[in-house]
Amino acid sequence: MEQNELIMDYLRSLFEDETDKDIVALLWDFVDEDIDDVLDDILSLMERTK
Amino acid sequence: MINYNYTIRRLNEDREFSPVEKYKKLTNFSVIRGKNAIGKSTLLHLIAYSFFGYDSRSYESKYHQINKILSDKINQFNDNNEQSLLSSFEIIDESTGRKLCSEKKENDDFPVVYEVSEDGDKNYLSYEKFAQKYCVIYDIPDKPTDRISNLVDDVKLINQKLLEKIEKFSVHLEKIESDISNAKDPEKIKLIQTKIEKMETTLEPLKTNNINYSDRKKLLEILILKNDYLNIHKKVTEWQRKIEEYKLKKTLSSKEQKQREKLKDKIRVNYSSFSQYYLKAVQGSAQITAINETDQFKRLKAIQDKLSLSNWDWTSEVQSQIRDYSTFLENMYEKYRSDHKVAGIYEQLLNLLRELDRNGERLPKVKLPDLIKDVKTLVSQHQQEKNIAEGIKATSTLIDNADEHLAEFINSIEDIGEGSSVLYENPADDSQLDLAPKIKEVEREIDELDDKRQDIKQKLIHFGIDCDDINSVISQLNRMFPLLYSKYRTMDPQTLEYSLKQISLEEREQTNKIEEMEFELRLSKKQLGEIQLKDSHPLYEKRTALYNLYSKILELKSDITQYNEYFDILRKNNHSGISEKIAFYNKSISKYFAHKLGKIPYIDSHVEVLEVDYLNRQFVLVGSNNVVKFDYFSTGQAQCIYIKSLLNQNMNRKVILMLDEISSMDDETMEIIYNEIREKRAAGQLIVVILAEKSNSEPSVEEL
Repeated sequence: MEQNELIMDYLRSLFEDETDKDIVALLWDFVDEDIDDVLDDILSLMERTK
Repeated sequence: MINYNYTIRRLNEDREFSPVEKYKKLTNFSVIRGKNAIGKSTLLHLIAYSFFGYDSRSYESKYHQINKILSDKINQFNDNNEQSLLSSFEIIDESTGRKLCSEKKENDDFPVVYEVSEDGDKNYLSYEKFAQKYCVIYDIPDKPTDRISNLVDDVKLINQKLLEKIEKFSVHLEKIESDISNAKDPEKIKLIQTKIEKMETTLEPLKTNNINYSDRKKLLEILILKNDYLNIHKKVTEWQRKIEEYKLKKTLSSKEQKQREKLKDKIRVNYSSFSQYYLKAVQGSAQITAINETDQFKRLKAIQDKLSLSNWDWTSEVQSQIRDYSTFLENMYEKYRSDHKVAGIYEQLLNLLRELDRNGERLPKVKLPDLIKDVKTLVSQHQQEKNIAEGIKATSTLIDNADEHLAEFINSIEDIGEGSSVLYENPADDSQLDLAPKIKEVEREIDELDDKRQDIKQKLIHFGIDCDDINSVISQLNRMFPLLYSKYRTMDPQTLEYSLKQISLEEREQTNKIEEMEFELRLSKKQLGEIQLKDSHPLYEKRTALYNLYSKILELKSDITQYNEYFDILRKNNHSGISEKIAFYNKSISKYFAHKLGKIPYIDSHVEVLEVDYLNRQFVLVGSNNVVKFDYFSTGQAQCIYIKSLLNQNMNRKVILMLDEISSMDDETMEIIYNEIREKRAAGQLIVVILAEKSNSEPSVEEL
């Protein structure tokens, strides 16, 4: 398993709520340049799951 | 292939060390064996040093995995006072053909690291760039089970990194929120517009009411001034009347004084007359034998000692005595007055008899001369009584005169109404009646009051009230305040003052309120204008979602922060009574460690690890009776576990792996590591692996 996948699994395991898991995964992936993209993704995610 | 060369010149010893010629070329995956001090460790130290081992970050698992116990040996090459170093390393990546090079010339402070592409292009690498692409793992087996704690540090860093990202993201959200709130906001515009409308609606009646306050206050001030004016006017009139009275009194006093002097003269005259008549009466009475021995006369005479002009206490007693004596004299006179008639008859008879005798006539049986003689004796006797009666009468007249003057005297002293000392005062001394200073004082008072009156008059004129004709003030007020005047006109001065204070207070409060509202209104209008001029924010429509997301992010942050307590618990080594949150986290982290380890050698086979419960220092393995304490594992097994974990956490970077003194691990354990290395090598994840093992045989280099 890739290192990043391992970390991702670990991070997802920290939360019970699926949306929380997804948000943390998206946050982990973000780098400074794409923060607005991450925000869009998270907002879309929240819109889908509400 | 690794091509390298170096010269270490020990300055104090004046010695140089360089690699043996035949070992200046190594395959990328080698095991070096040999006795101590043949340069195995020096080579590994130099490789670590040449690829940023001098940077302290290389000892943090976030960047590289160089065991800290090796740091002193690696950094010895920094000490230019002890030695000088020239070195060059060229590592050819067998999977890409690229070269990774490090070069330190004599005058360089540190080695220069660069890559060379297949086309020969050089790309110099900073520490950061190197750390993005490569990872140096350099370790030495040493109670490796204990060093599983490094994995904990990894996770700690992951958590830290996540927190940093969350923090950065939450700051970004805060900025967006702030931008949205500063951008054009239709909802806010509507709110401000409503607020403005509401304020304007509230403000209008307040202002009208305030004008009303102003009118009422003005009327009250006028009424108070009017009262003051009237009071002063009244006082001035009173004072003026007083002056008139004083002046009149002064005039009247002169008349009275004359009257008084007259009375005093009258007293003196009457006393004098009385006393003269009295003394004459006493003297007269003393000549009359019929009375001069009587008690009445003695009492009258005794009065003489009491008479005095300087003391008026005797008057009533003396008057009584005088009147008694007068009555006594009247009685005596009546007594002697009858004898007086008889004497007259006797006298007429004598005269008749003498006539007869002269005429020579004779009376029968009567001797006329004897008769004349007898009658003459009788006449003489009666003449004495007659004299007494006349003396009494004269004395009585004197007593009556004395009584009359005494009565006048008594009346006079009653009229003057003062004691006898009045007769001895200086008639010219009228200082008590000098009213001039009082008049001046009153006139001064009047002047002062008049000044005040003029002052009030000016104030009233300022209010538009002409008070020259005080009677017209009411009609003027009725005209000026047609609705209000009737309300206040009957108020007494105290109530007027109180009402003025109250209204002034209310007006001040109202004015403050109006000013505050006007300020707020201006502010709101300005704010509205500014907001309307702004551009809309692209995320305005999503502001609620952003707000919810922000709350969510804070929750996540709070969770991670709470999870971090786990590390404190580990540090304190006291995990009794841990919270549900920490128990949950321990489960997660244990599974993460297990994933990193995969299978581990246990007894005589490789077993899948489900959890590495570092908190309780135990493994949970697949199968029954699957909980095994860390202490049950041998050093070699633990080292194997550790190295596997190191290799598994750097999959995205090319790894330079160097292990010194691997002889502490048995063959079976080494086989596991070799297999791991082969797997990673096949995946192109390893660029260099050099293992060093102490051996008593001749030095050898064997490809893995």
